[in-house]
Amino acid sequence: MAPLGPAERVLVSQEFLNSPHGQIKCTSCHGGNPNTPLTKDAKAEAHSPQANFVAYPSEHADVYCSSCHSDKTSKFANALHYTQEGYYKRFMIRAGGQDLRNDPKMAAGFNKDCAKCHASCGQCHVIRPTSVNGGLEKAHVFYETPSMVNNCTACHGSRVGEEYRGLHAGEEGWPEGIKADVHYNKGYQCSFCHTGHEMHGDGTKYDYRYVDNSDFVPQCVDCHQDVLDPNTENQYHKKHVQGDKKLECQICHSQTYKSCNSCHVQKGITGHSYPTFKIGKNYMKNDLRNFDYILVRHIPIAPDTYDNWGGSISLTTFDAAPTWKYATPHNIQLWTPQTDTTGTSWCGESCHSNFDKYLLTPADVDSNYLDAELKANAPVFVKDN
Amino acid sequence: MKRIFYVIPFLVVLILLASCQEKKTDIAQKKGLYEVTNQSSCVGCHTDKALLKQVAEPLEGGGGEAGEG
Repeated sequence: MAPLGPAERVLVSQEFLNSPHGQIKCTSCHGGNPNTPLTKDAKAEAHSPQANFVAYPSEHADVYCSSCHSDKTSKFANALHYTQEGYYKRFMIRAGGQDLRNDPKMAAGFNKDCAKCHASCGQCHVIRPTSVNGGLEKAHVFYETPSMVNNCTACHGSRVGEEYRGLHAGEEGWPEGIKADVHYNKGYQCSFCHTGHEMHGDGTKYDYRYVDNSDFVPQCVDCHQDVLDPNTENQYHKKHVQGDKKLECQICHSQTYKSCNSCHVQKGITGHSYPTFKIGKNYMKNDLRNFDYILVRHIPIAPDTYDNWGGSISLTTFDAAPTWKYATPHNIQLWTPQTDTTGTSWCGESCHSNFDKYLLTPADVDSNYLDAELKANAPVFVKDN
Repeated sequence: MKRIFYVIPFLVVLILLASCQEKKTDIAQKKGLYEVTNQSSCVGCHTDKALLKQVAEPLEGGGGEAGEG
């Protein structure tokens, strides 16, 4: 993603001024002082807090957007991109039920290190996300569908974005032959699966992205219904999708993907990200995710991760959730090292002969936090050693 | 020929109905939620790329790739 220049970030086009939003007086949304001279010295005055300047009006969607878009804003007020409730809830699970928002130092630390992942209406529909310093994406023209590169993967870049576009290929430490996701090669953008309905939510205040709601959670079988056909001739699907022990689709059709080190708080697990492919037990089965086995990726959480924030809340129940977490890699291929039968003596050899490499065991945990990791991931290990 | 005389009034009514439809922004303005755009120093500056290049300052970090998720 090429960065916007300082002028391009704030340049407004005639196309915008001719659009419906361009009919609204600038100060109606942005406040500020419109009566200042066009000089560098007057810039600060025009955009000053004293002039009630609002850089990002949609942070207050209930004030600035809802008069025309209440059907969206009323729901989005409870959506995960806006509330970040998923972060807070995951923290509470590991912190004995304590809410970091109740501790000023913890809340300040969160705002400094984590809150930039929050998204408002504008960060998808008019500017680039503030985590990449914002800037008007199309000279202030509002667009219905976010840009895959300049909006979605501006935030979801290092894992989803790079996997989906095949950008790990050739990187140091990555296996050769990592390809872009087959759906990307067919031209599908993020919004093909992740629709506005999913992004805006249904008004329910969820606290986890893996919700059990088939109304807006995309699933492979939404398009690939043939894998559920009882008359299918595909013996893999008969055995591993329709059989007694169900596998997440990605177990067969994902390539190697990234696990992360180094959380943004500069504490806890450090080091570079690394390629992984690990199969774990599904520790969070629900109706939508009734798989027995799933792919998991390690997240950079440790018992001391938030110590630098200086607050009074610590992760006293760190092991209440796994650190090898449910993963949905976005690097799908029909033929992968698991499904390729070239030169093998039987159809499952490629995968079944590599169980030592693929299956998550206690040997895979972070040795610096051995006890905590062993307890946290006990529900995920496929084998005990 | 007679048919044309019957059709014309219908067309006129249809056109009138279509032109009477209000845009959301029109409704918002009527409610007094927004004022219409007028030329101000906001537009004067933010549409002038040469001027913006003189006054806009680079941000720390540059605004390139992020990529946490």
